[in-house]
Amino acid sequence: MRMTHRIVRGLERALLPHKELERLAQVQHADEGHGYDVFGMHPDWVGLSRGLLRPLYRYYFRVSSYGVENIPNTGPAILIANHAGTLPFDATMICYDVFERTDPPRMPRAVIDYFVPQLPFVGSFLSRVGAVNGALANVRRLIESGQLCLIFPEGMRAIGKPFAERYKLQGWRVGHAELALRYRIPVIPVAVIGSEEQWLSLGRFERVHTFGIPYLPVVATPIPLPVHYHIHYGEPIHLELDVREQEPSGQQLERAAETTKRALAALIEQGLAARKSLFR
Amino acid sequence: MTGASSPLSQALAHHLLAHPGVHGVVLVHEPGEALPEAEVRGLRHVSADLSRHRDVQSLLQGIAATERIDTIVHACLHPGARERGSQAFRLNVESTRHLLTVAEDEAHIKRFVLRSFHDVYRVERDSPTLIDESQPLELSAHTPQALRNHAEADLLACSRMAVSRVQIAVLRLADVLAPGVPSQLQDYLSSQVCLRALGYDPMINVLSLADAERALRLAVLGDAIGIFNIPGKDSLPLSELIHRAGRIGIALPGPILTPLYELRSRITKLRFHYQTDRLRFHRSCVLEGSKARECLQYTPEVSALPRVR
Repeated sequence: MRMTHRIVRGLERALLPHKELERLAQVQHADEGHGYDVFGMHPDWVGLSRGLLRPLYRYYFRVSSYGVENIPNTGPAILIANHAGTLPFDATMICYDVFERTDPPRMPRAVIDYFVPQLPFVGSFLSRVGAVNGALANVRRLIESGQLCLIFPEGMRAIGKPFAERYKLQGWRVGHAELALRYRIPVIPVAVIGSEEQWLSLGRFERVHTFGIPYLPVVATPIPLPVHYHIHYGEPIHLELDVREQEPSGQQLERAAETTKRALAALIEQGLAARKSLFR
Repeated sequence: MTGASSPLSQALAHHLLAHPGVHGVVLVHEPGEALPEAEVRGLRHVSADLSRHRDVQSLLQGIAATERIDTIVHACLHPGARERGSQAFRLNVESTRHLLTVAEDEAHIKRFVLRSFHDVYRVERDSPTLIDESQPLELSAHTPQALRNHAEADLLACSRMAVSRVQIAVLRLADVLAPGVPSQLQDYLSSQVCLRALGYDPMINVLSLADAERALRLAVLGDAIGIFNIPGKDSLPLSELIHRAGRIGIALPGPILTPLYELRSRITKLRFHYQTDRLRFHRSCVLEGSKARECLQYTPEVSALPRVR
């Protein structure tokens, strides 16, 4: 066994209790013969990332979640969520939470922007823990193999949205609706409350594009604030194609995406109304 | 069958001759290659310069007609990344053009199977990890000539697919890892110390000789027309591949790898050309093989890794 593997496995075992390791073994994994799936995910790396995220999930962001029963126990589905917070802690907390609260455990595959795999170390690490570059062919393969996909229809630019625009959905893309219509699979809206205030953004350097990054954010604090995360899973949305249509038209896609956007916006409103304060 | 000296063509000829529906195979050697003396029953060896139209015509109107050959397997595209100049172009592109045009005039030729390469695909920042047959081909101006030659030969065959009387199948094979079968990855792993880009560990798919031969055989014996990706059984990160091949992997900053490998190839005569496959050492690229599974009934079965050493 390679040294890196020994270290990863050792750390995983040191950081995770035995029960968690047993649950990890139940996660759907399409091993291509060498422990990795075709996108590069490896269960040991997933275990290590869970061990590293545990303190963040439990003690820093103190994640509470509601409505996890809306996630199907088996089969493909698309989770769509609001996106913000300068760094994608929202994605990591959703993935951690879904695994934590589903039985048998399910692990959403986060669909990431094109530039992320180009980042040295970060791209490789994310692919080991299950993230997938957002090309259509990749997401199709995930759906066809019955996995949960976590998509942020607002896209990458939303992660740096100004404080004044927090919890306002912007730039809504239609890819998730197209996939849901084609494969007739449910879309589950996920409202993340807390993430949009975790890291106050002061501005951005638009001209910095090292390794393909769209901009360099300027933040007010060196680390994100310990806000209380509330994750709300909404009821599944079953988008239907017109009976006469074989393929979704552009207008149908727009309408279907608008439906999912409204559902998520309503869930965010509910979540904000139910929240007592930023840190509770 | 062209590319007679390659272990892939030899294995394919051997398996085809064992098939009851095949009565004979003609292996075409490059001029200057010594022809084997001991003839196997049903197997003929000939020599021809495929870059010359006249030679191709003589070949197909001569021995191919008398032996009632009905299928051409063109497997002699030169995979060497350092192939440059008009000779490389003639060997790769012109030979394909001559074979296709002459085959269309010869009534006994019913089928044409081209062994192409995975590196004909263009890899960009928004390319998917899984490359299907609809991915654009690499024909840009800054592409090394070896890759452009492959893409051009491939495109030639594809462009004749819809209009030709001959059934054409193009098989884009993943990197074959087997001794004697030239490939960039084989060349890369031929040295004891393999350098890779620091911070990147892309997924690589490798094909065994047995699977490559079986895919070609299925294409020869079947009647499927089209382009087919032929992935291998092994998909794993580059670092893992280096380790499993028993080599020492050293990660160095990406920008110094091109000059370092250039220097290394000058000193040690290493055939591997880093610049050609630079992007593949940064981005995961795995061939998607569902079309071959459906149309050719091909699924990879044999791991290539025990053969790497």
